[in-house]
Amino acid sequence: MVFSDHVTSGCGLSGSSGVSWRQVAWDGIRFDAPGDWDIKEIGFKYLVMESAGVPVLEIKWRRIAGVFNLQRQINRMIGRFGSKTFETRRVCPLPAGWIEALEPFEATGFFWRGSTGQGKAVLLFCPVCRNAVLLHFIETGRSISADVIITVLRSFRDHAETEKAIWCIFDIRAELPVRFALKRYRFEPGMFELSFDSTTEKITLHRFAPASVLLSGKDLPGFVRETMPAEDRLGELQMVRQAPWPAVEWQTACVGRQARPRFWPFGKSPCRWFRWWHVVEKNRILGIRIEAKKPIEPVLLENIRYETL
Amino acid sequence: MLLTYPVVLRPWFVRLLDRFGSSSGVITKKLQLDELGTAVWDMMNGGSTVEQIVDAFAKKYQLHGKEAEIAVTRFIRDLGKRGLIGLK
Repeated sequence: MVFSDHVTSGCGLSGSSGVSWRQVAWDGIRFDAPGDWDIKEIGFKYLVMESAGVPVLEIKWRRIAGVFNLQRQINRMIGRFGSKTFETRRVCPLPAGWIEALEPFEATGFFWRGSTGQGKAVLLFCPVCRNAVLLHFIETGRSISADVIITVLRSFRDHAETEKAIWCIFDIRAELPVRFALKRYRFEPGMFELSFDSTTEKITLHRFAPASVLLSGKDLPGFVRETMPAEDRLGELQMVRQAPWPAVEWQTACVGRQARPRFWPFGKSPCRWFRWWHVVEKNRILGIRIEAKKPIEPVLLENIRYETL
Repeated sequence: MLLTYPVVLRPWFVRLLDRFGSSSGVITKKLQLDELGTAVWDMMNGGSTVEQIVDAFAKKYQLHGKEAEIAVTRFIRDLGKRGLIGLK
């Protein structure tokens, strides 16, 4: 497993206009966002970005099972923008730059203007993964430059193009096998937790900050013992010597029928592995926990990449 | 850091306490701040804006901006509810 032998600087890209960019990747989608855009709201297949406290981009997406009619959907969406609040709302042809940027997708758009501002929305349909995506650029008080919109659209992807899915949110970045779906997430000041499930394993990513305060008066093994679930407080935590940062690792012995839980295949997963490490220069503690009902394959550990930005 | 602050009691409660021999309408409460709370408290010098405190806090502890903003504003709101600080 690569738990990062270096710390990336926010997946930073620099545009020709001097705008700094960073990648945002969440629940199947990814795109490049300007450096001054922050996450305002986050949910399952839902994201809102803000700039200077004002929403600028709302994204919703979902898998379509049957037939998807782009025009019917956009007309339905326009209908939801009530005429009392929005003076103008209409389907509009996409600018040439947008069409070129959205080439992999079937796309249409609409424009609205009201008392609070105006907005441009693009409805996409991907024939490969059958995702329908709404990208809604909101211009409240100030407009978003065309270059920014085109860069966002050009970089937008709604499915993984390799066997790995990217997760890049706030200050963490992870690459996991595509088969792992997001089950639970928690973003609290000081503590992030993301849980993913496949049919055979469960992966949980942890991130704690600031490490300097959390490790005050204790070492990393001591912090891990306080933080881990009660059922994991067994055995000896081993320091990983060859890691680039101080790290501890622990796993259950998961071999043969003795490893099965009492009421197999129900009950707690018998095979558990975790590694925690202290990224000193970023003042973070990261952790990965894997649970499985069968012995954890080493190739799974090699296919996980997790780092702080 | 331990903060001590007075809490003025409601008149009906003071009258109730009078029956038990306690006539003061003010009680003292204590609030123990952890390292992070103490750092924010020290940054509040009467001249800094909330935004400046958030930026300084994020820089000191190398936190994500949004994370620092939520943590600091929640803390400041809590102090305000207790009557320990006021905002202008």
